[in-house]
Amino acid sequence: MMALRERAVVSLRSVPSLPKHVRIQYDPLRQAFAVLSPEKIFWPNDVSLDILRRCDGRSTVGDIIAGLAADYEAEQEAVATDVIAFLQEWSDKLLVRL
Amino acid sequence: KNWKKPTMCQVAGFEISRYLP
Repeated sequence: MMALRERAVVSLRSVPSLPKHVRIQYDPLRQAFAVLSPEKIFWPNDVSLDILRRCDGRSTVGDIIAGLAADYEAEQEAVATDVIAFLQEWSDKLLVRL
Repeated sequence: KNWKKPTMCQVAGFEISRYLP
């Protein structure tokens, strides 16, 4: 029986970071930022980019949500729902480390 | 800035060579 990786679950106390193999790079041709990982390239929208830039290995998910809600003058609850779902999806795809 | 759902589009090998030396 093969041992499966335990799924990391996002909580407000999680401290997300980008693994070493993932980086954000500006593409002058498209004038947009790309997220590069081995064999995959992603084009994030500006909200995604703002979330990923805050995954610095120091801020908790709670900090990130509060910061974004203030920045966007948005309802914290709506921001929390989207940020947690986003981080869970990309943690599952190994693009974000929790 | 307006809050909207965060999205990430994955690009198909074909493009990646642009990012390699």
